[in-house]
Amino acid sequence: MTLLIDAQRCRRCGEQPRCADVCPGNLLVLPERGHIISREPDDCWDCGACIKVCPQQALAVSLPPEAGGQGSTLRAKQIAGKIRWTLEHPDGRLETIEL
Amino acid sequence: MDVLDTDWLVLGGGAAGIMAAIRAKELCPTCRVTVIEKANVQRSGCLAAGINAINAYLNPGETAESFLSYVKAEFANLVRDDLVYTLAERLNEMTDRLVEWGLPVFRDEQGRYLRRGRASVQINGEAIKPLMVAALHQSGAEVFNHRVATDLIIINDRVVGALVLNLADGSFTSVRAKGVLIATGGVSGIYGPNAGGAARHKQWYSPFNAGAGWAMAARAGAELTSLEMRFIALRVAHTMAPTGTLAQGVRTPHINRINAHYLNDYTYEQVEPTTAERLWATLQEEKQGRGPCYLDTRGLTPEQGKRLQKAYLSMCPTQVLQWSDAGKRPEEMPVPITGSEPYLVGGHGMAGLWIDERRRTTVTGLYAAGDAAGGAPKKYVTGSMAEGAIAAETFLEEIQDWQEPNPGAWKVAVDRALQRAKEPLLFNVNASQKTDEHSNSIGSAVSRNSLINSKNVATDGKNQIRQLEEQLQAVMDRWAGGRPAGYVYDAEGLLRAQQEVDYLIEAGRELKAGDAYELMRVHEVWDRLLLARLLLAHMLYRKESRWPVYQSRLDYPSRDDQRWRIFVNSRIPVQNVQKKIEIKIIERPPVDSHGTGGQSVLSAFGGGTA
Ligand SMILES: Cc1cc2nc3c(=O)[nH]c(=O)nc-3n(C[C@H](O)[C@H](O)[C@H](O)COP(=O)(O)OP(=O)(O)OC[C@H]3O[C@@H](n4cnc5c(N)ncnc54)[C@H](O)[C@@H]3O)c2cc1C
Ligand code: SF4
Ligand code: SF4
Repeated sequence: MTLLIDAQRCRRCGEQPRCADVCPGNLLVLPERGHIISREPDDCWDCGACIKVCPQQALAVSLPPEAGGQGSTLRAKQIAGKIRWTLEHPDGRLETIEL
Repeated sequence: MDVLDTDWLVLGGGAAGIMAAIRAKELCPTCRVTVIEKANVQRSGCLAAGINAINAYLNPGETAESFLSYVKAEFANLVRDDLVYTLAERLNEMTDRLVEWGLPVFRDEQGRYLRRGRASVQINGEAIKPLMVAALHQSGAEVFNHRVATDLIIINDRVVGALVLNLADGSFTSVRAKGVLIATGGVSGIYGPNAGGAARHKQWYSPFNAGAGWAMAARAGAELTSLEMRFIALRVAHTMAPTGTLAQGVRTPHINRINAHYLNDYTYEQVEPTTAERLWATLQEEKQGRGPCYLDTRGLTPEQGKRLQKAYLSMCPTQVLQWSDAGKRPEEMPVPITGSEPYLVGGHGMAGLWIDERRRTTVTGLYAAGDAAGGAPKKYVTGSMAEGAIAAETFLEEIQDWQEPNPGAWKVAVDRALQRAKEPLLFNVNASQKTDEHSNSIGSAVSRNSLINSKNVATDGKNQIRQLEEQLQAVMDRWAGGRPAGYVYDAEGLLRAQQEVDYLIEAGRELKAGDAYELMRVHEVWDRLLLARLLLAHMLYRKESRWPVYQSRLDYPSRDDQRWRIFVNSRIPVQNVQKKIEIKIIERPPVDSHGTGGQSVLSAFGGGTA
């Protein structure tokens, strides 16, 4: 499970949630109530498409432990046509990288 | 069921499909052009995360001829010259189009695109897909997202449309078209991933490109080529991130566990080792106990380290996590590299649908381009686009040959496709939904179901689908030269794999789907099983070792140009698709002339049958 969903932040953005709309694997679904969920968390490709379109920064990717993951995460925010990535290191330190 | 009428039906909205739609609208603004995409064109397919180089471009001094010799040299002197040449002629046009659509490029002092390697230029391609899509919408083509093509509709050996599943509500649409393009990409998931469990989709190639287009075309009787030339990539261990950014972009040396620069210890056919040769050398080091191997980033400056982070964020974001998880900066930690699982992909390797110079398959009305089309490796994004453009041009020249299908024949053909497509749903109908009409199939399903249970397959649909996929991967990994087997194989193992895959194909008929998404997943597994079976037939047939690592046999370890400098093709005779799979192998001679005079079109199809 490498896509992390922040239940508090997800605001269920619309009929066709943006994250679910762009996922190349059609993995994300919006249940009747509550936040977005992944049908098959293990099937995530970690492409980052969903995290880049989420207006709430409710989504993040991490590496699964099977692939050496130790807890760092990446979030993204679109600002004036640019993407600001926030890399959270395992020790909680934040690093921002703008593309 | 809805019926949609269109002129040019493009299956798959990736690099090839998008360009094919745009080109058709450019040449024929009044034509109706329809793109059917399984996900959303915005981020679907290989380009979901973005890319940071155009890997097929003619830098100053290079020509279509020199590109062809470079590709040919890397692929053991056996590629489709006509295909490579004709796409090479269009590579720069495609790159210019991308730049025109807003793709950020880097430039050198002379204002030329910044060269990264012999045939590659550096770009900032994080948003390459959304940029292509903006151009697609501008073109006037219509796009249907979250629609999965499940089968082609065929009347009198001619493709006249496709059957499409709508993931939103599970409904089906039959699309009637004058020409159909297969642009659904290559195939992943036939072999097991590098890491399992939660990392099962930490693959390099898109795990969502399951080979639908190849399987559909094969069921329609189309010829496939060179499946035995599997593509295995040299990738970052764990993240499966591409290594070109490091090896070509910043020229980091390859080192082994004892810090030796091992590439120098191997001899290569060319001065610079090819991608395949770098892979081969790395695997040799692993085999001899000097692995793991690394790309040594420790000579980089902190500034270069930051640029690397950015480059990976535009293409494979999780690579950045690998450094961070280890508590290191990119310039502090060498990057571990290894071989990926094998994929079948026409954009990097040779496998794919057999097409002529005009991108027509062997079935009338059916065209192919991009990762779905075989014979022309190293085409990548721009070559895939070029093929899409060529296919559209050919289609428009042939559009007048179109004849409206007879309504009766159309209904029969659609019903046949629909019956197959929905089969897994019938089995899932619960008691209250059962109708008399379906009772027969349900009865037989129940009895066959117990067979499945006795084989220890979980009863829940979702797990069953996944388990079968993993069973296929386990068989292929062990007996058919998967990663755990060091990529090599022999006839004995292949025959055993064939038998086991045949059994899994039978078991696959019992898969159930509870909703549209699961139905799509069942089709993916069916397609992968069929393609695995075709792949095994190809691997068994070529009795030599032509492409190191990619196609390497224990029982025929040397290359034999005398006998085997030919293409191995396969086809399923159409009348047999419903019964046990019968595979016909066809040998096709290489066409060495690459003149654009058109003579190669026919000769490419003139091979003898074995
Ligand atoms: C991770 C990665 C990095 C790469 N990096 C580079 C690079 O840096 N430079 C470069 O030049 N090339 C690169 N490539 C290669 C390049 O991306 C591909 O060659 C190119 O995108 C192939 O285009 P395509 O249209 O054939 O396939 P795709 O772009 O994959 O498109 C296929 C489309 O078909 C859809 N589809 C599949 N099945 C169905 C179905 N049943 N019904 C409807 N739609 C369907 C898919 O969702 C997808 O959108 C990279 C590839 C990968 C995987
Ligand atoms: S895009 Fe963000 S806010 Fe919208 S549904 Fe997805 S996670 Fe929730
Ligand atoms: S990271 Fe990509 S594959 Fe994973 S859920 Fe998000 S969009 Fe889908």
